[in-house]
Amino acid sequence: MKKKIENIIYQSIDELNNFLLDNDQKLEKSLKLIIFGSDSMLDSLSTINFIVILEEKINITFNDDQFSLLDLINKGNISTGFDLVMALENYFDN
Amino acid sequence: MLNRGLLLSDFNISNFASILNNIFSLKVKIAPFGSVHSWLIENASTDYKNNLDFIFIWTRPEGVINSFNEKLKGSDISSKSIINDVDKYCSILLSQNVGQIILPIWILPPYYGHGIKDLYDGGVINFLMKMNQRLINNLSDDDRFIFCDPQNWISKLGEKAFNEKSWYLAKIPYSIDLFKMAAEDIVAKLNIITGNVKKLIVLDLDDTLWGGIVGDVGWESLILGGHDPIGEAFSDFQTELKILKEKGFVLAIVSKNEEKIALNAINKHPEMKLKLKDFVTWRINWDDKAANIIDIVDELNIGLQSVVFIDDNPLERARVKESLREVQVIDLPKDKMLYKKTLLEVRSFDKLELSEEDKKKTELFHSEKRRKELKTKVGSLDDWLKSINIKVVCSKLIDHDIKRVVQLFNKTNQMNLSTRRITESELLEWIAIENRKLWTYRVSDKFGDSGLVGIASIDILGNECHIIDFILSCRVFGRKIENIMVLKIVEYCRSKNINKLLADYKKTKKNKPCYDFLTNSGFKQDKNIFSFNTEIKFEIPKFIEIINK
Repeated sequence: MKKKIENIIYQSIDELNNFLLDNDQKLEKSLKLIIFGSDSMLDSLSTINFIVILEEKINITFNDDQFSLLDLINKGNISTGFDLVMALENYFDN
Repeated sequence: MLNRGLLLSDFNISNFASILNNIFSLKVKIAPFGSVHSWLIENASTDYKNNLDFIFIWTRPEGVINSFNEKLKGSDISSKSIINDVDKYCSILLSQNVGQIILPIWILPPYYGHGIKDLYDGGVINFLMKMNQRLINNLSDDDRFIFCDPQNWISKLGEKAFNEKSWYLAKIPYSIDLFKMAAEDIVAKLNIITGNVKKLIVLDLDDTLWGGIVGDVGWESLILGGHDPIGEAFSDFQTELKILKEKGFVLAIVSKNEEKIALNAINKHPEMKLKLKDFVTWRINWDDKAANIIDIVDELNIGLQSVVFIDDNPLERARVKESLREVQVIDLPKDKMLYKKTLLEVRSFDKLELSEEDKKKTELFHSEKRRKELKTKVGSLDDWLKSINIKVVCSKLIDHDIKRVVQLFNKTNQMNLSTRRITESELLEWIAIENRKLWTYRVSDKFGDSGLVGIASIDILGNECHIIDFILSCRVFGRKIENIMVLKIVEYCRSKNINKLLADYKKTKKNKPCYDFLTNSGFKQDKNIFSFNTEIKFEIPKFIEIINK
């Protein structure tokens, strides 16, 4: 489960880097990356794109089209990729 | 290439701009979104010809045609007032002073249009159709306007074309995948506008224009036309190519085959839609296909960027892709029934304008110079083969391989020394006799594993080694695997102190490639008997890794 979630996050970072971010905006492919909150490396549009991309991948991978990443982010204290992995693990374990 | 653009939209079009800039290397900017009308009116008198090549105006119908927006909200709006709004919008568009204006026609998300009366006069979809028709009629006389149909992009993605979440979060109505597709379309259109169009389609034959290897099965057994789904697919594929030829594209053949056999198939097969006269030229031989394409391009006096190459073999495609980067290589799918679809999806086959006489004259003057430049571009075949990490695994016959070996014995015609046909039991009986050896050869490279594709067998008679079978699938011709097969035999002879290696070539209608190999690889010929002194070094390519098992 953990590995699967990590892979989805990495794939989402790849998609952002490859298609939507300029060279000087490319993100480090790491779970240390601060994704959400005031210290985030992402501007507001990139954050939204990341949420949309990641959520679509989660919907497909876990066959759950009711899952809302935005709800999860709003509920929990999620900042980095590590936080995100933990929150998603908890969500799907429950 | 026209690459300086401005994107104008009533929604957030940033993602589309990023894709155009990051993937397609355009230089596009975005006007503030949601201000289409005001921006167009304010900038109508500005001359953009010096700093903008095109404006791309992508709007939602409800975003720019106010009466249609009211209609979607349930108001009772007349067709006349909607058409009136479209006319006003068009007059603003016509007042722009820029080279090209690209307009996707209007669409609605798929949740519209399900009502019983939506298609009737006064219905939402009926209005939308009228609006698009009016838009096109009002603008199509002006050469600056180019239309595109987002339905083409949407039909491939279905519901995934739209994204409600990104609409509510950032006013982006479409998915990233839709933007990618739109970007490809726009770039293809910009290429066509600038005259960067394809002219020549270079085609392979076996498993591309017909099913099967003509050199092995003969033209009578090719899969083409008739009451066969695959045959019908090949036939349809040929029909589409013929249509492209009628539209002004030039067809040529580059195929690894015996020319006589292949041309015979084209001439004689009753289901061939493409006739020999449909091809401007051909190179049917065993040479490097990239070099053959260069040769054709030189003959026809066109640029490599005008060439499209179509071949079922991924290795041949990779060779051309890597050595002739300007050539567009179409990745045919494995499934032959998808060939026609793949061809029709190629964007560079859009309408061809053939009004470039001046350019042709210039090309004629520069032909000799260009030929020399082209020759240096292709690079050596050896260098390329070196880069693809070819491995040959040579093994003794094992039980697991018997069926495949028998199949190769009975199906291979071209690289076949004696064309001996054999059953499984005959093979086992033959190999059981002392002094006889049989090796199998498996080939792989960075593009994949070709599996067991070669067989060599020998019989030691006194102080002579006789090659009995020398068989190689045509799938791996031209990679110098044949040389590795001979090397194995030579090494075996040396280990047994046998100097004389003999090959009795039994000529058939189809095994000339085997004859050509023997005559060009250091063997001495006396009529049908080829001999090699094993004390002499046998030349093999250094780029192949040999694994003996």
